[in-house]
Amino acid sequence: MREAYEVIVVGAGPAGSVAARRAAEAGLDTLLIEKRQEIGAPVRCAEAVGALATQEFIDEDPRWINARIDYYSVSNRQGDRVVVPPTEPTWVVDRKVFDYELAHVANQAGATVVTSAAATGLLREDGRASGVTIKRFGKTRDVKAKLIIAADGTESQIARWAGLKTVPPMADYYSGAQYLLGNMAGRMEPNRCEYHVGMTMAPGGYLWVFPKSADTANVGIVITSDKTAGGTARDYLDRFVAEHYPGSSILNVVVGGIPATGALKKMVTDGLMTVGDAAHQADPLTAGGINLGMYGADMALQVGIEALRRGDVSAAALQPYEKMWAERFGKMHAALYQIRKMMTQMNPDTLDGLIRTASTLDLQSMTPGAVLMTLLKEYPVMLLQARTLVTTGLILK
Amino acid sequence: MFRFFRRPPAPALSPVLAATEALAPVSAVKVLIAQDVCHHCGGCVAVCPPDVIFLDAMHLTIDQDGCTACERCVKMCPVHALEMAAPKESRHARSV
Ligand SMILES: Cc1cc2nc3c(=O)[nH]c(=O)nc-3n(C[C@H](O)[C@H](O)[C@H](O)COP(=O)(O)OP(=O)(O)OC[C@H]3O[C@@H](n4cnc5c(N)ncnc54)[C@H](O)[C@@H]3O)c2cc1C
Ligand code: SF4
Ligand code: SF4
Repeated sequence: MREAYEVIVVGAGPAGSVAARRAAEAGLDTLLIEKRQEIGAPVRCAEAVGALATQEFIDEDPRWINARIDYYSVSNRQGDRVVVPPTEPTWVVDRKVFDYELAHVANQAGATVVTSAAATGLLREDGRASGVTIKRFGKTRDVKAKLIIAADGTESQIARWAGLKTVPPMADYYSGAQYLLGNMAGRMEPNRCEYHVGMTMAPGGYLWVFPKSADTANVGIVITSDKTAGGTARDYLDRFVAEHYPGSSILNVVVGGIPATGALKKMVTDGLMTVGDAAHQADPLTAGGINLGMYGADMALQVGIEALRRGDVSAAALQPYEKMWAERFGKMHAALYQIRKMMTQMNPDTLDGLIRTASTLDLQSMTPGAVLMTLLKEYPVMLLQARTLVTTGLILK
Repeated sequence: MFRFFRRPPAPALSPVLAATEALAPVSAVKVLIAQDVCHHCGGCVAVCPPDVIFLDAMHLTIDQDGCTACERCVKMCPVHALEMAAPKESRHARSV
């Protein structure tokens, strides 16, 4: 580690590694720091990704692909199940290997990667972010940079230190827990990702069962942080596992928080850009943030590299990134946010009933409009929500 | 060049708040961390308004002086690793 770089990226998650790689590929002198001693570990993720988007950033590799998904299902509290094909092929990956490989690619592109190096403070010069204080093996030092990329994930502290508002409302922050369960053969389909919904099972969120192998699965939950009076995420998960998978073994425990606000409006300030979970770029409904974070990093660096070339890294020069994000994902995020709010407010019995009715339909041969009409006939109380669904559905296309 | 410390200076308290603060029983520790329960996920860090929690690679610390006892971290923690410190008794430290 030297005293100064052109770009410092804080956090070697998917977003940080893609950012560092882009910077290095552009010939910029780049430092990528990660506070953990091992990149990708411990995992804080359910590990499902849309394969097409992922392949824009890294070549397919069996070392980190655990399962290939052909179907998704959504179940209600009674176990009625709606099965649909995914909008794009899906993989369940091994984040430990996946994250490591992404950082490795950044390193191969020329970025200096340093682990066990935590950013503990931000340096400012003439009002602009100009470097970070890095703590490593008990020693602290200041390292300067022309441009700082805050990719520090859900903590999102670097951007805060620079004055951006990153603290989410409790109703828009997911609290999550997950077990890697063994003894799952015969209790799931190895090519199907399951979702389970119902406010009493997962208040404000949902449960999932994502296969990792023929015999193991990531079984997890997110609930919103304002709805933890009846128990924590892990408490709700324990109830679900006891009911559905008695006798299974817990091979691994994962815990985490994910912003579900939709991306921050202000993601840049003088000399600093925020990407990934740090910029709240995760999907505000499903909490999926791997691909979105990599897209965010890619966009940020397109703008950041150009700004560095022109020698102007002021907030104004970096703002095209915010615009680029809003144009590509802004409406989608807003729509997904609306759907989550709608599901949170829906009467649990209505939601159960909707899924029950949908589970009896031949969805493959029906148009979305026909599905909606059938459901509305049975649940006219849904008329208001239907309008939201139709408008958000249109946006999501 | 000047350094920007992690925790910005606390905003001036309103007179009413300052009075309550002065009357409140002085307790150095407001949130207790069960380090052996914590999974180092960083969620509590994200939701702490005064930014007084810091997660080193594998160690969580809270700057108790700046804690406002808002309980957001306690409510968010997915595994009950945090709790508000009761004046005398606590789940993790009790007299037997
Ligand atoms: C339970 C759970 C399930 C999830 N399931 C899915 C899923 O199935 N699919 C999906 O797409 N997404 C999922 N997500 C979300 C996904 O994990 C995140 O959106 C994704 O990891 C974001 O990538 P990132 O690079 O922005 O941040 P991260 O992957 O969190 O990386 C940030 C990195 O920065 C490091 N860091 C933080 N602070 C500092 C510092 N001060 N100095 C140095 N380094 C620092 C951290 O150690 C970390 O390695 C899930 C999340 C959780 C919690
Ligand atoms: S939210 Fe809980 S598990 Fe996560 S870092 Fe904080 S105390 Fe630890
Ligand atoms: S109680 Fe509030 S102020 Fe105190 S550490 Fe927790 S979140 Fe921060």
